Amino acid sequence: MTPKRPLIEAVGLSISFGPLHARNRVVDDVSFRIDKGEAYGLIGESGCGKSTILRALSGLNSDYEGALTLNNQELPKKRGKEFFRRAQMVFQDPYGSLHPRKIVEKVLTEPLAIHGIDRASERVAETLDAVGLGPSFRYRYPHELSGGQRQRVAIARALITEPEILLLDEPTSALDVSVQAEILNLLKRLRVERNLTYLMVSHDLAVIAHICERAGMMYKGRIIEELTSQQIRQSQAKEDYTRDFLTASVEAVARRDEVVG
Amino acid sequence: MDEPLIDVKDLKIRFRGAKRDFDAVRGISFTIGREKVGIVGESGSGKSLTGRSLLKLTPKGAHISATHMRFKGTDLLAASERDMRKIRGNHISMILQDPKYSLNPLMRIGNQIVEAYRLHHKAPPAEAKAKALAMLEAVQIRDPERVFKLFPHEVSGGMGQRVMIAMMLIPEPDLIIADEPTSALDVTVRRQVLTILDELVTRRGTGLMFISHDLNLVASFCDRVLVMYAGRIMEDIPANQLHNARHPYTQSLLESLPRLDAAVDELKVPVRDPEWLDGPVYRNGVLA
Repeated sequence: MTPKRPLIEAVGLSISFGPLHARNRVVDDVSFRIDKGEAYGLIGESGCGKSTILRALSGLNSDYEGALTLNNQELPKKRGKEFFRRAQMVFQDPYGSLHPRKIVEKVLTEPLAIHGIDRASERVAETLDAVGLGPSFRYRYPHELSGGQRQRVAIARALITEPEILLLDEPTSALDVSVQAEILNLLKRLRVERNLTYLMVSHDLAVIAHICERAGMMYKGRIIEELTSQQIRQSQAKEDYTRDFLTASVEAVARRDEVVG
Repeated sequence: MDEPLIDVKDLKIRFRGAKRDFDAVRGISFTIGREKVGIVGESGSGKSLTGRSLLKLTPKGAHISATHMRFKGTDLLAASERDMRKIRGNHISMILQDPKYSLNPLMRIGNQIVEAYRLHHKAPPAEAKAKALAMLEAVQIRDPERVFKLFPHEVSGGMGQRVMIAMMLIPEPDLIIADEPTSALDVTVRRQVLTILDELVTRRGTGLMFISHDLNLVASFCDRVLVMYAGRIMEDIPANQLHNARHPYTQSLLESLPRLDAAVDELKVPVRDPEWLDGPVYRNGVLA
C-alpha cells in the first residue's frame, strides 16, 4: 500500500484581524495535515481561533498568511469554483443557516445550478434520502422543520455537490442531546458510505472523540498538542493546559460514572 | 422537614389557538424546598415555561391553571400584579441564559446591582454600593472597584454571568430560578460559574430551580432531577439515583450521550413511544 498522502495541509497558517497599528493575531503559525478519509477535530475554548481556521480553509476569509494545500497543491487565496464543489461547510446554527423564504428543494438545487450538475431532480431525492428525510420534506420551508431536520437539510445541502471534504463548525451544539445523537450517527455513517474527509470544530470532547480519529488542542491561536481519540478518552495529555481542559470537560461524565457505576 | 418553598399541584399551561388549543404543560406537580432541583428536558418540553409560570412571567397568550400553586403559603394563582412585584426579585429571582441580552447595556454594572438592592431594601446609596462591591467580590471578581464602573459590553461572558448571579443574589431571595445559566458559556468557565453559584446557594440556604437540557451537568450539580417530556414530569428522582431511572425516556436520554469512557460505533437514538404522553410516571423509582 502506498503511504497516505495528506488531502488537506496547513503550513504556517496565521490570521490577524484589526487595523494595522493594532493587529490582533487570532491564529498564530498553525500547521496540521489531514489524510484522505480521516476525521480531524479542533478543540478549544471560545476565542481560541478554531472557527477562524475553518473559515480560512473554506474560503470565507481570504486574508491569511501561510499556505493551505489540497492534494499537495496550494490553494489560491481566492478559491475557484472547483474548490467549492470539493469542500462544503455545515454551520453551527441550523436556524440561521437556511434561507427562511426558500423551500428545501430550492435550497438543494441551487448548488447544482451553480456547478452545472445534471439530474437535479433525482439528486435532490437521493440526497434527501441519504440524510434520512423522506420525499415529503422536499416542498417545505425551514420554519416547518424541527432543529434536527434543519441540520439534516444543511448536511444534504453540503452533500449534494458530492464533495470530498466536509467542514463542520459545531454541527450539533445548538441541538438537544437526542437530536445530537441522530446527527452524529448520520455524520458517522455518511463518512463511511461516501469516503468523506472531515474537519470538525467543537468544544465538546465527547463529540470529537466520537467522530474524529485525531484532534488538535488549540489555545490562544496555536495548536499546542495533537491527540488521538484514544488519548482523549484516557486523558493522556502532555501539556498542562490540555490536561486542565480535559479534566474540566470530563468531570461531569466521570462523576456520572460514579453514579452510573 | 419544614414547609417547602414551592408547592405546585396539577399545573397546566395552555395556549389558545384559532383552531385548537395547545397544552404546553399538562398537569405537573412538584415541590421545591431549600435544595437544588434540576429540570431537564428537550426543547419544547415545557421546562422554561414551568419556571416562568412561578413568577407569572409567561407570554400573554398562556393560560395558567392549577389546583394550587403556593410560594411559602402565598397563593401565586390569586396574587395580583402588585403582589407579584413584591415577590419577584425579593423572594424569587431568575438568572437567564445569556448575560449579553439580560443586562442593561446603557447602565454601568455596579449601578445595576445597586438598583437591584435598593429596589428591595431601603438603604442609603453608600451602603448599597458597599453591599454591591462585597457581592461582586463574593462572585470572585478580582477587582470589584474596576468592574463596578464597567459597562456590560466590556466584560466577558463568564464575568457577565457572574454579575447576573450577583444581581440576583443581592436582594437575598428564598428561591432562584436559573434558566440555562451556563449554556452560553465555555466548558472551562462553566465550571467556575457553577462552583460559585453552588457555594452561594448552599451557604445561604437558598432554593434553586436549575433548568437545563444537559443531563450530565444536572446530574452532577443538583440534588434532585425532574425529567420533563411533552409537558409532563416523567420522572422525579434524586440525582445520585439517576442510573436507576425507571422511565424508558430517561434511560434513552442517558444512552444517547456520547461518552468519553466508552467508545461506541453508533449512539442510541431515543425512540419516542406515543404511550408516554399519558403513560405512567415515576417518582423516586416507584410508580407515582
